[in-house]
Amino acid sequence: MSIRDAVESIPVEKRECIMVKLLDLILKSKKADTLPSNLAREFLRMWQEDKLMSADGLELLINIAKMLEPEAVVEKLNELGFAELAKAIGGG
Amino acid sequence: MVRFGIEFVPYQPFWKTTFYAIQAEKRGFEYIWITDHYNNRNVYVTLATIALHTSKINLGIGVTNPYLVNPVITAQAAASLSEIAPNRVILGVGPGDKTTLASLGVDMVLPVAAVKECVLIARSLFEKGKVKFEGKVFKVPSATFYFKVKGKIPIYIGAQGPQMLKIAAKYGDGVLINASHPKDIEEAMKHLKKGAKAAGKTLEDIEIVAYTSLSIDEDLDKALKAASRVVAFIVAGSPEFILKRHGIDVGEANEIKKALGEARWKDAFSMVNQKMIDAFSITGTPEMCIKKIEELAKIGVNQIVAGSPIGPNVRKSIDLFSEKVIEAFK
Repeated sequence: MSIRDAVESIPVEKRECIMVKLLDLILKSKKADTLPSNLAREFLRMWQEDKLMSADGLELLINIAKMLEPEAVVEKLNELGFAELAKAIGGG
Repeated sequence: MVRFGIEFVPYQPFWKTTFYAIQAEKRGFEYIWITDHYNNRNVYVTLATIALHTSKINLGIGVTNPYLVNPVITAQAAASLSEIAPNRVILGVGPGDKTTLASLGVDMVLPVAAVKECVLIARSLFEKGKVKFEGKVFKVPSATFYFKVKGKIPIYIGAQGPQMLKIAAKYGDGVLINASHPKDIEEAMKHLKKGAKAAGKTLEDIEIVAYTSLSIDEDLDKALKAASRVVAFIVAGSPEFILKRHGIDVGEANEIKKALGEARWKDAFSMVNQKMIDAFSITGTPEMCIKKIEELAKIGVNQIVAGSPIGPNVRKSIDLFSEKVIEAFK
């Protein structure tokens, strides 16, 4: 399953929870300064427009989290019960 | 009526500061203040980025000094920012930090005059687009902007000592006081009143801003732990008379200073006690923060700026502060 397909399978009511967890992973990452500026600008645009909970937004968050904290994001997704998504980003 | 601002030191990547700025605007903060230190990201670039990602939050340069950048160039930068976000820019000017200036080989010459002159030069440029000035510190034979300044740019003065506070009330549209405790604000008010009177103004004519260290969390221990990391540095940098004003043991403060100087962070943070936290921060649960802010407002503070650390988790603390504290003052 691709990341996109896995994201689209997340029930709408669970999107906020996953967004918040991903945000905290990203904001607390010690590798924050390695985030490419084009991705950072896209992230800010989506945040400004309240689109981080959309499928596009969650996909972006997952890609950023995967880039900054590859192990932690898999662990967090498994912990939250999103095994398919964790698997899609290479965690099993 | 109390307004709320938030302060960030742009030591983090631009996107993190901008993320929190967008969040602050969404959550009802009216002001964002970005500090100006040469060793962090540039204040104007940071604020320009924030301006492009927000639509109403006021953008404070908080604060620049007249020694590292000529006041004409400071006015040019603020005016350029105001073109992106008209009527949202506030220029904060203060004397700067002696240690930082010394590290660049710059002397803090006549700080009160330098700040006052910077304000007058910038204001002339904002209002008339040109300036001719001859002061004790700065001379501008003739400077003219080739562009029209968009919007009004109020000028606030960062002040601590009696003379600077008087100048702030006399010449500033607002004053930024680095203080979190009513005793310090009360002391500042005495000097502000004198300055305002000298200019034929009242304190109601001036925005009085408490630039605080704030740490909020529903879990008091977490809030305290986050605060102690910032308060340790404030204690270490505070003059003896300020420590004594708050009943803080000077010897204990010196021990903290020594530990910080030797990079023994855990030792330094563990020596921070409740008295120090109370003196130099607004820390605690939302209810505790509300109580302290009410005390500051009663003395005459118009704007509370939530400065570092804000809380153990900045994102959560911004939400919590908004939901519980800002709402309580509506």
